Amino acid sequence: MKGFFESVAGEGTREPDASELERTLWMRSLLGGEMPPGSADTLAQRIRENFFAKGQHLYRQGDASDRIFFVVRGTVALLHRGIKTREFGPRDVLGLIDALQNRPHAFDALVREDAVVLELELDDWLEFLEDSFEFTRAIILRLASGLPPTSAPGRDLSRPTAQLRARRDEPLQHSGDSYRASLGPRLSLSFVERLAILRACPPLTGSGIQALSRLARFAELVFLEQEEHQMLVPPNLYVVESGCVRSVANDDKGNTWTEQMGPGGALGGLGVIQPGLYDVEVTALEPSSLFRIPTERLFDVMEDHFPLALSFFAHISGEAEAQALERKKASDASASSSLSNPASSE
Amino acid sequence: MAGACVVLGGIVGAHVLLETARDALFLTKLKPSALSLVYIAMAVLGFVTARADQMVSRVFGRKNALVLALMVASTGTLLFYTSTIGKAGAFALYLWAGVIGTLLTVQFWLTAAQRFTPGQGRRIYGLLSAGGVLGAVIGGVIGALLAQGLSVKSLLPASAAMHLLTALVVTFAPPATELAPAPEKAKVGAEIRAVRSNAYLARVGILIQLSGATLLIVDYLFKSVMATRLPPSDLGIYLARYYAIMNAVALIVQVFVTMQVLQRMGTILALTLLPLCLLLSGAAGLFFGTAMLAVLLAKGSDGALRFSLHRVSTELLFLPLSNEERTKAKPLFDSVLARGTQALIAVVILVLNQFHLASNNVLGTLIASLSLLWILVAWSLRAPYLERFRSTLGGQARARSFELLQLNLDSVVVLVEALSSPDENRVIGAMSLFHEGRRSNLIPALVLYHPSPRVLARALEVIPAPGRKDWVPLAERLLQHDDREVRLAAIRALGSSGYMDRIDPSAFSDMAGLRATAAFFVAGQSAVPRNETSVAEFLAEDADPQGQLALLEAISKLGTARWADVVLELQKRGRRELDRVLPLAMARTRDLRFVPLLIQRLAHREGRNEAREALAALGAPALEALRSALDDRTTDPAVRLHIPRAISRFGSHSAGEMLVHMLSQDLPGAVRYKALRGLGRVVSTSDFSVDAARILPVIEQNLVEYARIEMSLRILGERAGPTPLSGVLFFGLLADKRRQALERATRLLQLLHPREDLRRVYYALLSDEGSNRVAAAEILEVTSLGYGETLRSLLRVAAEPRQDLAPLESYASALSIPVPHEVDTLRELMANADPLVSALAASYAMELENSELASAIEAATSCNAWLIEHSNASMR
Repeated sequence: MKGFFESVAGEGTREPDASELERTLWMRSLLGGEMPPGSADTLAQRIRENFFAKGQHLYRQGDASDRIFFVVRGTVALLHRGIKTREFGPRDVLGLIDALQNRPHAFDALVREDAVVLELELDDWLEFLEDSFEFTRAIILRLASGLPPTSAPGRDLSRPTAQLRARRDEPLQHSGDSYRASLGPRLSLSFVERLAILRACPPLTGSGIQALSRLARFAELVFLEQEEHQMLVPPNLYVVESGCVRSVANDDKGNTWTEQMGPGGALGGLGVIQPGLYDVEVTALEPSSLFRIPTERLFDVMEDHFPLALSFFAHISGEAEAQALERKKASDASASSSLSNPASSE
Repeated sequence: MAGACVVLGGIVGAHVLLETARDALFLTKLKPSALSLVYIAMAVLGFVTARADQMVSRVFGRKNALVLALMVASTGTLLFYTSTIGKAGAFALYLWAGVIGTLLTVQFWLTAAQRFTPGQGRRIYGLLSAGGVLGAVIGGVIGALLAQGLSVKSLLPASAAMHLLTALVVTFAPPATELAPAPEKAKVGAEIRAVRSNAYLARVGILIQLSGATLLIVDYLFKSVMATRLPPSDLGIYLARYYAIMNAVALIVQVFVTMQVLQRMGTILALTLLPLCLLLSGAAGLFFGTAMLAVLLAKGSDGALRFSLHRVSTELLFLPLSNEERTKAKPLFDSVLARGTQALIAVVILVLNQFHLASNNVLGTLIASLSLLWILVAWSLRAPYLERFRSTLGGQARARSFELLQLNLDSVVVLVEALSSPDENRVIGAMSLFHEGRRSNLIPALVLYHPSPRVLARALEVIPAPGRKDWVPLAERLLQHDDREVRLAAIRALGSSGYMDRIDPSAFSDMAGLRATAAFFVAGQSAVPRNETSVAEFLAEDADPQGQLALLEAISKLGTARWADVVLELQKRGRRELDRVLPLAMARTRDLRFVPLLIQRLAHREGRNEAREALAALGAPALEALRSALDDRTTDPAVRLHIPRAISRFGSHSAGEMLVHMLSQDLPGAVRYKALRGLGRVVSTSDFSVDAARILPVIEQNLVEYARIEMSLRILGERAGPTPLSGVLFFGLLADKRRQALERATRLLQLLHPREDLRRVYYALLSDEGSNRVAAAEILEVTSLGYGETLRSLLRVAAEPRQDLAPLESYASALSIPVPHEVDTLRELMANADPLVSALAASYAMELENSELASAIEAATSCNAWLIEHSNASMR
């Protein structure tokens, strides 16, 4: 009878059972001390614990990526066409990269040793991140610090911006005025064009237009003459507005990265959104202009427009995946070269 | 759709003709008590026929099986017409009509379920039922005319002809894609087990049994009363007229009442109406002391509601089921359960007759009792019905929070085990859970040997307790620890527990932080700590910031109101290193002079969270100050933006009221959105409940915005050819705004239904997944019961399945406006109050080179030149 009355009682508090407490504890320890404990406990209540026997799949390539998996015990291998690419153990997270890039699973996740896994719906995770913004900010900064100071080039904007520019030279038929004339001498882009440039920047691509419009308002312009050099000053996000710029980044271990960027490119990647990671020097290859968006402004906008955070996560996870694949390719190449030349491996 | 209506109309019309002839002939030739025997026989035969039908369906397909059954029905009925009908013939005809009627109805609804998606089903089932009831009216009218002009038997060829015509309609109907394959052969035992193991299906089964049983007794009572009260010669004409009138009433109910009732009351409440009417009929009979009236009212309710409202709401119970579940359960319910119940009730009536107990009173009591049970079972379906839709969305009702104060033995074992984990986060988590559960005394002092400085610092915070001394020697040892934070924590632990004599301040004279912490305890007894020499050292302009930080940390953890002046002094130094700890120290010392300072701090990310906590700790005066700051138009917009969340931290009724008020105030959209989020927090963490009358207009406002944007996007999206860049940005902005309007509307609804997980409904509405949208629609239907019809129709439009996109007319109708054209839409958007919408609309409109838009473009560009034109003037 007690159970019946409890079930109809509805609201109220109750004792935690051991497994619920275990999940709470696990979630608190996973998320560390960067967030209020109440948030971790709420999340823990939404988690489901599952057991997978050796040989079972957590998911298969092509499955919808609508949940993420936290490995509590056991081992899970990520396979691509049957070949192991990486192995995951306790405290590792699976499925997040696919989910954040909004694509079906790109690999098979095969259990190698009997595994206890906590499953969390992606929507629950995202809601949690949105509600715990300081935690989200900390994660973004931490993840960004693991990326090299490079970025995929921005989308090709030459065609659409050329269209916009050409249109300015045409008379505005219905008003009788020259649209071009109303704009004055060309120096920089209109606000609408700024939006287009920012939208082409890889970490901002998935963001909403309202967030971009706020960033466009916060963005300060930095002009560079041809062959002019300048050190990028963290904490800022630099985006090429016009022209073409070469960046050379160095870290304190003596590594150097060089790349060339056109409009929409993120100079130094996310390597200058926090201080102390890289020294990045840029050189204009032609008269150029850059947007400089202060990191704190970026996070202010992100707090109000969560899709911007998702856009960052998608970008970071994509870059991290590309980096991991590079490393895997390099290690495979070195393994095959050492096989073909055993003496060199010794 | 129209074809399906005609087919159902044909089936039901033919059945009404057959049923009228059957009842009249049976009651003329046999005593009403024989009805119980025919019910039993019908149950057995119905069961056999249903199994045969499943086999035929598997072999020939649903459509062909339906055609075959209609042809057989026509031929068989015609054979009865050509035969002489005596007692045996009347018995056989009753059986025939009952079996054929059930078979054809089941076949039709299974075919419909295979051809329509669940989303279509919700809208279409009502219309299909209307087709059926219309057929019944036509059948009833023909029956009455034929019975009057010719004979009751002449209804049989009319029924046969109607069956034949219906078969022709089905045969020549265009082939439609069947959404689900024909059912696999399954054993009855396995089907029953499957239903019993499914709580929802089991309840639906019980409901169907109860309704079947009750209506069968009503039918028996009606026929027996008719047979005893009317002369046999009038029976045919009377029954034909009665059925015709009842069917006409049913048509009126179906057309004017069913959908209204379903929309206003929801599926579950609608299910209780028929049994309620039966109960009321009995009550009316008792009140007026006439069985005839009770029977006529009861049968009238049956006739008016069974094939309209009751049928549609029962069919809707199958909507949340998977196709597999539905295909298994429905034939089982319609054959085994329905027939089993029929047989059981028939046996009961037979036994009652045998012992002369089948009086009107006994049967009336039986009907009343079963109706009551029926209502209870229907009501008990409410939760599982919604739960089925919730599980489609992958969610459940919000869980209750658990109470850490009541750690049981199993939980304590889990936590003690966690204390020995090599993972420092796990150990810290376990200690915190012990601390929150006020069981810090269970944390062994040996944790202070842990290698992790973080674990040590946390342990030194939670272990010291009055009367406990085992940790003191270990804490003394930690005064020499390499890590500064551990040393500080050790001083604080010892100092706060009265062991300052164990600390030698001279030992760390070169370490400002440690000295400052020691100074805190040395000056702790002073009435004015600010005047103490040991403290004054750290208040100087050129004092070491590490010392100031340590002093503030000590105040934030252990300080009292006497330290407020020290905090104020340190605040004036304006050192960034202190930003995070200052609000905590202000919260601890609880001095109202800090309120304006804390409000100003909301503008800065560093320390904002702590400032919110501090304001909440300062209570009502701080809340009032926040309200004034929000109302003051000169307040820094960056501060204003963060006031709602600061208010939400108070978690009080007054805080909730303030946030509700903000929702309808003339404030920037971002501030109102934050008020909404803050209100969500207050509602979910306290017992504050929101007044629906204040929230519903805001929900409606957001849904109107959603519908308007959706309409605009659809109208603008109809243009062929590639979208220019400005169009991509413009449409992207509209899509953002559409999503936000929907999010706000669902968050507002969530405030009114804190136990419902409407966040999943929101995600379902954003998705293209048909079953998710149907589930979301049903949950919204139930949660919005009792709200205004405009709001509910807007919710329905928002939840429309993507594949059956609601026509623009339905948006326009929900908004009570005509459908606009592309030019009007663009004009309206260019005149939008949001400059970004206006500017992007104008940029896009320029690309269209439409002279009709010229003046609107000029107006928009002149208002928003800064957005559209080059922003070169201020550059460089």
